[in-house]
Amino acid sequence: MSQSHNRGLIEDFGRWREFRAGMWAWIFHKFTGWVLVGYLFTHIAVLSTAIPASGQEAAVLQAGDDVYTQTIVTLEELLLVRILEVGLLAVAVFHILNGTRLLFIDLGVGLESQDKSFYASLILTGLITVASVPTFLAGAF
Amino acid sequence: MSTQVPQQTDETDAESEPDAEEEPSKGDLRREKKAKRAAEREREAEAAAESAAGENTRELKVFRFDPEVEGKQEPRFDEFHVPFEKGMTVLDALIYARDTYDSSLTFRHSCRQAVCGSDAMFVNGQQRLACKTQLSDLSEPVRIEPLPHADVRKDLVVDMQHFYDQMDAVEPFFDADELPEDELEEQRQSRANREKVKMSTRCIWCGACMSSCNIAAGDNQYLGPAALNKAYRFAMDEREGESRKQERLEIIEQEHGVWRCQTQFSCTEVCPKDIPLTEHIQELKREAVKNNLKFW
Repeated sequence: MSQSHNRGLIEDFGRWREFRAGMWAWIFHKFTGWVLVGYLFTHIAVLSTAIPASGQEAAVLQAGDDVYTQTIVTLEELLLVRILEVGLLAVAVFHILNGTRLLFIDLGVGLESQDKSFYASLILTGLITVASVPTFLAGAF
Repeated sequence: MSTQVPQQTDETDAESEPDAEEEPSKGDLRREKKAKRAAEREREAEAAAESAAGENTRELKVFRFDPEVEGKQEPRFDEFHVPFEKGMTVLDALIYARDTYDSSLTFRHSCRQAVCGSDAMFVNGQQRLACKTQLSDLSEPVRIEPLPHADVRKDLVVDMQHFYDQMDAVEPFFDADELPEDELEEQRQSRANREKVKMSTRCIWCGACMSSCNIAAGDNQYLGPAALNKAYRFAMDEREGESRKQERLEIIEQEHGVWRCQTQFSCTEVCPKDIPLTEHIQELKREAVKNNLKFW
């Protein structure tokens, strides 16, 4: 019996249909976490390159012709950016809600209803995202 | 049967070409046609009978692998049709398949009543005890595989050594600081304390939790749910005393101990004895934090 068959890691992802609530919560939490980290760096990059605006004269700032305002306005004109903002909100809201759920789990509260709290955070995320759509997409079309 | 290399059965055509006679008469042609139709009818009846019998069978798809047999070195799934009886478990079906069709079908089993913990398998995408899983609860075909994240030795048998090593690492035995004067004196436990550890004592070392945990799959040094549950059982036992508890906490709060758990609840979902594993691990985490944050 020197030989044995190693089925490797690939099977774990191939079985995504059989994942339970706790597993999905974990995957989504990781995913949203990485998206938020990615966003944070993009955010810093965009804003820091627009910063020379602070050196402008008061009159230019007043008129809204400075680099900072221009950058933001141009970005907001893009439909893609508006849609991405909705996505960002969804990701952030889920991460917050599921993070709270995980805090309660760490405190030993409600471990029996961990699946329900995951579904609840999913539904809440959906509701908040839908409610935010008018705000984000107003005037985009 | 299936130990042998799967042979390619030559599909012999029932309707082989008629003998090349020179200009067969009309009567011959008619007779030939009649014979053909009769054969067809017969075949249909056979198929119908087969499907009627098949109504009360269950289809199993069983993982087969044997490094020592040439035709089985490449893993494959074998199908078995097992006559269904009320109350039949997956283990019963496997035993039937082995006894009736293929004596080389290999799997561990012993008590057949969810006590020995030998027959944890991956059935229809979940770790289950084969003897505790009703066939009637499963959708067909019932797919039976060895436990994931463990090396397969043969068919449904996996190497459990790593699991046992992790279990041993938490020193899973009662070891009190102070022993009573009289060697034969009982060491009583309070009822409340017994209730606290009650669920954790139910572990049967089947390894289903360890197999379901994908942290344990990625980190071979992680103690795993079963071992941490064992650690919980003794760390929470008040009879062991303070210094032994300190030693136990040191074991569980190592780098690959309790902190690796990311509360996916996979282990809790699959545990055949319904042990709230995640809850116990979380409680050990809190215990470890409290232990390290003692300011008084």
